[in-house]
Amino acid sequence: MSKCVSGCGRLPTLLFGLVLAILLLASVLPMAGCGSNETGEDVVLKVGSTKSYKTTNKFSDYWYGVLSGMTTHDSLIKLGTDMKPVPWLATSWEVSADSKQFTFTIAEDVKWHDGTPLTPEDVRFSIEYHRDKVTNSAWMKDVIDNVQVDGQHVILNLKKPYGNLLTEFMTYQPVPKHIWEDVDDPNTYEGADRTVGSGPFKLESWDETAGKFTFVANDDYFQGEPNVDKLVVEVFKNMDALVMALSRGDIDTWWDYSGEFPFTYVPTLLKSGDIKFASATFLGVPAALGFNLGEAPMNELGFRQAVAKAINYSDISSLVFYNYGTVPTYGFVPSTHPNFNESIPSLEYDTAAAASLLDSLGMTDSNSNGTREAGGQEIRLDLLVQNTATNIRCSEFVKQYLEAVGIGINIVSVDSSTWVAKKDAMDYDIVLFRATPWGALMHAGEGSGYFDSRRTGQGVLHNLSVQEYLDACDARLSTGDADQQRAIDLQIQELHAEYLPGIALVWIESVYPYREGWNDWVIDHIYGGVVSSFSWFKVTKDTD
Amino acid sequence: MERHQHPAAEVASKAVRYLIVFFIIMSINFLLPRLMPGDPVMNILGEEASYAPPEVLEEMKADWGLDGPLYVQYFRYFGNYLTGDWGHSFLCMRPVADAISLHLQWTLALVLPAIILGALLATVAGALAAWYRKSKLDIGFSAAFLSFYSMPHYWLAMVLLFVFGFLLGWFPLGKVTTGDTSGLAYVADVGWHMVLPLGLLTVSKAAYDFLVVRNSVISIYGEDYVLMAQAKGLSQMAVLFRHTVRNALAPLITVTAIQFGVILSGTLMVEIVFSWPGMGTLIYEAIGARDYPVLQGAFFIIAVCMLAANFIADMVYVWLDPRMR
Repeated sequence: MSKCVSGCGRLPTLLFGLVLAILLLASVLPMAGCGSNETGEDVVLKVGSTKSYKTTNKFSDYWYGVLSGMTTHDSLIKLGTDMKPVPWLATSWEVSADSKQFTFTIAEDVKWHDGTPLTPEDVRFSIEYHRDKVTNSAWMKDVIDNVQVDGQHVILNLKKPYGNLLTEFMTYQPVPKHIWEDVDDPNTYEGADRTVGSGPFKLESWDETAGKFTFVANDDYFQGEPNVDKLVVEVFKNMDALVMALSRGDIDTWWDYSGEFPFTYVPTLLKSGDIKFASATFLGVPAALGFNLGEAPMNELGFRQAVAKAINYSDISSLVFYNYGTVPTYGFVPSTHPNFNESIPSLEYDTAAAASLLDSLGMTDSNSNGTREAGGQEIRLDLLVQNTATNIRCSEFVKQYLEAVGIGINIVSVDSSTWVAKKDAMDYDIVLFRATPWGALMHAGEGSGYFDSRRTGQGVLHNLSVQEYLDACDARLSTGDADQQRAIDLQIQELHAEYLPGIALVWIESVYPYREGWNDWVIDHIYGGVVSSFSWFKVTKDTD
Repeated sequence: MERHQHPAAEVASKAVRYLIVFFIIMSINFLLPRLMPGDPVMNILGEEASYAPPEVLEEMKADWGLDGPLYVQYFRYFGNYLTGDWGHSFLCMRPVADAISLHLQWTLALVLPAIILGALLATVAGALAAWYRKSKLDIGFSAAFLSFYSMPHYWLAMVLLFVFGFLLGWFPLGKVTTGDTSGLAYVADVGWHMVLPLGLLTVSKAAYDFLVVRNSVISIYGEDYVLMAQAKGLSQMAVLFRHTVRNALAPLITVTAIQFGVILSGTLMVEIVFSWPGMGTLIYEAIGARDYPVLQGAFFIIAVCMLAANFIADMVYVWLDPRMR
């Protein structure tokens, strides 16, 4: 028997295996595909996002719901760049003196994407549909008594005064009655017409496999045709790939709801020369400390004041937020808020004052081991943190600052759901949290939604039950008078400074990257970024 | 004298064993997500939970089958699975089967070729390294595969993406497909997108298997039948691949069967780097959202695949090694 015959006997088998593997690969590839009608003349904007999109049902997919609020659907009003409500589907509105009746005048000549006119009856239906069928709109059950239509007017009669209704309605979009009236459970509706809205873009396709949305301009939009003919949203699962795609020109800009573009990427992108940045003061608070006010020593105001003085805010701003931060005030919310209280002082890093405050509370380091004692026991506190990179970094700085004044800290780093569970069970001493732009506006505004003890919710601390504070929140919610609102907004910030339920660690200037050649972006403070409802009618692209 | 079971009795015994394992897995599958701290309702409602009246929260729990004592939920869960009802995802309200089928097919599209190609590569390289042990070839292969084995997958993935995707521009920056293609162009597009993640997983799999095959071949190097084959004058390659490797493959089969479940769910970091919609990311997101139905469905599929892989390994063992019959 020839050696060659024996030796090569396995080769065909191996080759066969290789071919089989390739065929297997080809056979297991799920087949898909859709057509393209892109032409060279279209203005195409490609946006990268790292959010996790699952369906195109705005009721069941949170992130698509947010995206649709800027593209396919319109709200009655929006938050303008000057932080005041601006007309959108509602051309005007009136609020009764007792804040129990809101009358919206609906724009005429508005059409749904299928050509059907959008009427005040659609708006009435939508409000009631949200109230009765959409779980996260269930607050309306407590607030809205009935909705009436009178010509072009939609009149909301409330069960109780609700001064924050205009802000609430900035994030709710009417849906077509003729599509949704027979749908009992909006969350599970699979009909192709579920994406029909009245917005400046129509959803052309969603390729879940490719992670790609394609929207086309709504030629019949009541505010005129957008400057962008086609909007493509490319979904990535990590920021590094997205930034590479931006740098390489595969996408034109980035968008994530209420998120901060990671500052670590900024120097590299600036060096490339092809990327520019727009910026705006972030409406929320990217990192803050909250206290468990039911436990000692956090229930001592002096202790909270000592913590506030022990932290080096400038260092956090420069070392964690790459010098895009500023030192906050004791009032919690940043200066972009319309009724920002300028009289509240800035937080100040003063370890001597912190030590003095702790000494005055009898919290001393009697055995000189570096950690103070209270009631004979060492002060060692749990700092509860969600395990994101920025949070971990912040918490390490906080630990270092507090331990420098003799407060022992154990960092308890957990995933988001565990964080919520421990936070709601008050299973922490100090908690690191963030306030989103919308969160800072919710409830009675000024960040009160995070502190009012009567609330629950994912990021909500509900730790402050001082009657004066609760009364102020109630008063703010029950008035529609602008002057009264302003006075209470100022008061709420003062109460934050007085009681210190939480301390903002930093306020930041958010940055939004985009490729050279695109101009005239308009930043949306709630949704965050240059990709906004306002940009569609302003943004321009240089022609070659 | 050794007692041999009747083949039918052996199959029945194996089936009972598998059924018991399956029952235990299903029970753990139910309990594990619920043992994690956190409330799915709170996750879904987010900050809006503040507004939802208590009766609405109770209604949501009832709709999602989270009402009632745990044992009631347990029997309901078993009943639903027996009738093929895997429920709806809490996170996006679509049927669990739909979510899993999309992610599973893309995981299999990546994992099956990686397992086959990785095993082939490891077999050839491991056998040659063992046969020519202490040679330059052995040292070279061992150094290379050990290096790959030591590198964290996500780091290597990022390096590949950066060098071949970004700097050189030869491959896309992740994802499964560019979209907007069909037919053969679609297959070619997907193939192009697969090169980097498939290459990485293949090398990673091969790096581990290489050591297994090498050690296995070395352990039977001096066996009588190997010497006999050499004495018959067969070529080195014939002795190695026809007589030695076949008998050295049993450990590789075992390792692959064990690895199968891990690879099925454990490619998370590779999926994230390459934006690949596989089972790893599905499970990761479901854990974050405490999406019990998706977690149960995903672990159920993985358990079935694991059991199937072990069963196949049992069968292949017998085919490879007549002593097992």
